Amino acid sequence: MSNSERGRASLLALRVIIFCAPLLLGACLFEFAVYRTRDSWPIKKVIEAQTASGGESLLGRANFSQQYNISKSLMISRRRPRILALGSSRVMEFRSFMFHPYEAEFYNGGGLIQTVNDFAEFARQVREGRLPAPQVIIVGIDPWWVSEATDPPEKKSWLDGEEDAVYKFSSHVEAARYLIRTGKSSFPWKVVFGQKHGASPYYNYPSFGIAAISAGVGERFSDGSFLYTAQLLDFIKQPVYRDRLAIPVLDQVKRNYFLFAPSRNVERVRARILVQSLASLKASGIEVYAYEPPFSTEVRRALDESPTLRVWWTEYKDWLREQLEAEDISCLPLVRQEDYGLDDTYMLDAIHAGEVFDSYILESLVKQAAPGSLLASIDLNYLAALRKGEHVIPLAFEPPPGAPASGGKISAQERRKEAYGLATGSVGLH
Amino acid sequence: MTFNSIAFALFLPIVFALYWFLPRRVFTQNLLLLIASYLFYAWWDYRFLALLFASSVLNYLLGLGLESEARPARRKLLLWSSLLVNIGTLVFFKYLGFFAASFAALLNLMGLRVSAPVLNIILPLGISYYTFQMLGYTIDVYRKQFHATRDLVSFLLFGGFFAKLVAGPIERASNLLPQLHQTRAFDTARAKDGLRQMLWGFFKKVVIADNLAGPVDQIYSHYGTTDGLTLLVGTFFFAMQIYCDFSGYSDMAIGTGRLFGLDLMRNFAYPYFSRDIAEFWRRWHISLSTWFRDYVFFPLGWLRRGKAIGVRNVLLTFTLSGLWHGADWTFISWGFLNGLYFIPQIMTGKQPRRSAVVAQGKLLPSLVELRQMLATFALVLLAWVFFRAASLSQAFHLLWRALTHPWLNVTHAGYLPLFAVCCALLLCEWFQRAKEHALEIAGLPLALRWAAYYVILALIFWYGVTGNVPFIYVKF
Repeated sequence: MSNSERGRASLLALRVIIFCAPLLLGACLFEFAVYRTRDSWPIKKVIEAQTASGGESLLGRANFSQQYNISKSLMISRRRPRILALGSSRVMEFRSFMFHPYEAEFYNGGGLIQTVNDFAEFARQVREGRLPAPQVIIVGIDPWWVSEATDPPEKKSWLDGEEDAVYKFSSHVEAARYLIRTGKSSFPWKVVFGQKHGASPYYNYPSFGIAAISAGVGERFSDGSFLYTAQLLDFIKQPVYRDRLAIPVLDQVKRNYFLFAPSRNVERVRARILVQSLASLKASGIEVYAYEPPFSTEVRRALDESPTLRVWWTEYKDWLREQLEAEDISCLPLVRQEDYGLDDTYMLDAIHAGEVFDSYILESLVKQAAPGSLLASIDLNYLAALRKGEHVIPLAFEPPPGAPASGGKISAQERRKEAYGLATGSVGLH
Repeated sequence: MTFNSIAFALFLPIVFALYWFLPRRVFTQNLLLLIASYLFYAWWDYRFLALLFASSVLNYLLGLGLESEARPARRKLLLWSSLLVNIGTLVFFKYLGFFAASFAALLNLMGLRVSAPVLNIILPLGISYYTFQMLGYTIDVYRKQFHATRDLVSFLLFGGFFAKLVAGPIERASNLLPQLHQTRAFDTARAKDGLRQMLWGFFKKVVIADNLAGPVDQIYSHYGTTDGLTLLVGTFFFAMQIYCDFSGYSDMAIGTGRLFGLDLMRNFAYPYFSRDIAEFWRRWHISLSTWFRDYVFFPLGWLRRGKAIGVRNVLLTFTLSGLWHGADWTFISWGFLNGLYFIPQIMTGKQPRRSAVVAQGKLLPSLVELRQMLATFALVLLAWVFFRAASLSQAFHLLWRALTHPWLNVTHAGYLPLFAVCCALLLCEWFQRAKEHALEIAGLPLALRWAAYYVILALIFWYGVTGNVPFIYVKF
């Protein structure tokens, strides 16, 4: 090849490089930013860092999937908890201190189970010894697990080897899109240019991921529970019930989408998978306690009245529980606020009960447990005393230290953090 | 490795750099491209690399045999050997299960209880494409329309060039081999246009085709409860999806070829602006339709032996063309239906030979041209129903449903953005229909060109489907 031809080829290559340079620069800056915020750290690396730091810390990704399938599985394998809470994000407000005297024996596996396929896979891994068998499992059963509209039973569970999103190019593109779409593009740049980073607001926990750093939203390293700092701040500012989720649940019910897409009834195959998985765990000697987590009153009423969802909803409440009880699996009926003398202010949003509410649910489960069982030995007096604590608010036992009191002014920076947290409130919701 | 993967984004610049910076010799250039092509294929599926190699070597030897043999009987024997081996390989890997199942079904219909054996034969990637290419070569050599090559490396590259290996265009020896026998010189304008064509193809694939895939799947999987209008929308979306997917792939293949100084066959020429079905087939999957024309339709006698024979020839050719797509009655019916569309033209003897683009040199088509284009498009849509349906019974059920439930009280507002995007694409292509591809904008000022590229990249970034969705025609 002649030199002039090489020159022409080089020139074209150079022009392509110049053309692509702004795009590559943008991509590099984005990657640098998300790396510094630890949003794009692989979960395994995060857990190593959390373990090394020793104390409490938060993992809250904003731009990448939270991937409980990796974090929770790994933590369960390492901790080998005797008492394990399982389900979606709706069980994630059970705290280790509620389980006195077994605080160190508890781990919250909430978020790990998004579908009945996940439950079947979890049960399989426990049976095969790939995950340690706990002594007690508390399971919050979501209605959409048994909806026709959710993932078909043949779909592979994310527990079955789904890799960390940070290793996928497509996840990085989606993360960049998300960052731009949510209008929070200013945040990572501040981190890049040297402002304080790595600690969550108010609690000052070492934090991994943008949601954790900016809004204090993420899973706690100590017990796997989920901290919703922004939602707690919102409540402290105005102590009323609000559906604080990005996609309003009442709207989902009324317009039949997302979690509440139409389902004619409880889908039998999914129900069978769930019941059989729970029965297999029980057969292997594990104490299994199921319950149906609460909804806000307005959502519950809308479901009762929904022409498209009513049959499915009623079957979930009654028929499914009967199926479980037929297999000798205890299941609390749908938890309602009024049964405990509570109201919707004990709900973080329309589908997530707060910590105090969950402490009442735990009390019911303990009272239902067979005498001599591990769960029956939980100290209910200790639990009752906890609820009388000085700083307790309806949503949490440990409200944000130094948070502005009710009606107090919140700075622009806090409002931004709060708004960010609310916009990413679905971090824990899957 | 697919064109829409990160691996390819790394692979291509490396091969490009090595190709143009190594000493300029035919052998070096071909050998490098051959190694790269086999690596590309092996990256995708290494198991059948040996089959590709063996098929290429065998056809190379058959070509040499045909070239050196003067006796007609021996030449015929060699040709039949080529047909037997190539078609036999294709039948074994692609159609054996289908034929066995169909034969068993036929026997069952006749009252004999027979169950078809379950054959789990994996379809080697690109086999339909490279086999047809090899067949075309040996037939051309047999017909003495092309001299067999003695250059093994060139021939292996002819069969395995990575740009067109897995989904075409189905190259002709007369087009590609002479180019491979010459040293390629770097042509900046050609390389730049190749890059533009690749960008346009990539845009069509990830922004349009991949975004249409979900709604199409949804509509076709709920065909039993939906209405005619929704099915029409779904079929229109499928027409756009398959066009953008396959023409997008072809654009990327042709663009890649140009980066290496090779001109591959044009495969699409704005088919949805055709004024009759014959024109559509001169503009859709050109490399396959011309292959069938030259190696099946013409040898059968074309239309020269009377109308009845002409109809038979057309139906046979199109049915085989449908079968080429896959071992399924849906594809066969699609091909047959397209053949049926030709009957009025054959019977009336009115076969307009339209080669120029519609409304050439004008901004808008005449009303007659518009009516012709819409009528042709409607016929094409009807045929796509058979192509897309999961089974023949589903296709008929779907059409019946569309006729009996033309309109239910279902909102279609959610489809409007996608519909608008499809219309925008057609509009872009309308304005560029005289060009080889819609992003042929070399005449514009640099700033405008770069602005156009950035806009397209921004659309890819923002709306492109990131999940590396497979190309539809790769599975054929």
